[in-house]
Amino acid sequence: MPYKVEIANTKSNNEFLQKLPKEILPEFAKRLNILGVKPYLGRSVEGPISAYIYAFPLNHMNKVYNFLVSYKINENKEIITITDFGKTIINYS
Amino acid sequence: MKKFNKNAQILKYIIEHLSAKLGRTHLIKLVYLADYHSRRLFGNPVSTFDYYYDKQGPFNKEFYPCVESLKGYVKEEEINFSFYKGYLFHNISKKIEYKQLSQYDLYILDYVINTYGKANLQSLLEDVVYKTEPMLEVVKKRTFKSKLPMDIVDNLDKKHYEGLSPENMVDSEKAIFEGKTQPLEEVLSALQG
Repeated sequence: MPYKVEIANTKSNNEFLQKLPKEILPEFAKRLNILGVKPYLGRSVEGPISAYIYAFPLNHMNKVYNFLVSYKINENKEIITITDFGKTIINYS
Repeated sequence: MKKFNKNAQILKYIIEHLSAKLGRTHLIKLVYLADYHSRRLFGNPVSTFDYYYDKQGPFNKEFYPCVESLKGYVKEEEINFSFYKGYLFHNISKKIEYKQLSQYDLYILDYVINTYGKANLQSLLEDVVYKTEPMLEVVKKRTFKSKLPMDIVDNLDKKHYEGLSPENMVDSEKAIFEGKTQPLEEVLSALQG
């Protein structure tokens, strides 16, 4: 069974998602759902805030969005929780 | 209720969690490590202490009046050894308000308490404190009693997160702890209308 993928309900996460172009949401969801099947796909970061970092690009309207998310894994409950989102946008020249 | 400055609140918070497990040197080193990690992660310290290179590493004599201000809220037990006197801090159940400690300060303090609180003092000094960059810097220059250049570590950890925000990640961990999470599909379906 794949792990359940969830999002931490915070102001910054909600604001980030609200600003995403609606057209890319299905593909965006698909890329994040991969984490449910491959929980350890991201790079592990140790320290005061231990987390996994996962990066993926999406193309949309002559732009490349380089997305980045941090997430935590709850192995007992088999849940992935996205803790922060980030992105950079590169325009095609 | 008596008001305490931020440094006193930090000391009380640590002693409350590690009652009867810490002496003076261990306590000030934990505050130092909290400042060190907070600077690396968030770019600013938890306490307002400056640190000077002393016999057992980073120290500031402002620590003593700060401990003194907590009289009645913590108890310092004097322990006599053959050749020297030691101290052990005990928490007194009288509470104080941690109004000046942000959730990011508390996050770092909890990390330091859990990671270094029960470590052997000698190995904490040798393997951790003396290996931090500000200590390495003053030891290298042999500038005993000089101020530690704490700002050289500001934001160093941020590169590990590749631009993601440590503050947002801490907010999210709190949300997870409080059960404030939503399934991805549900959130994105709602956004698609």
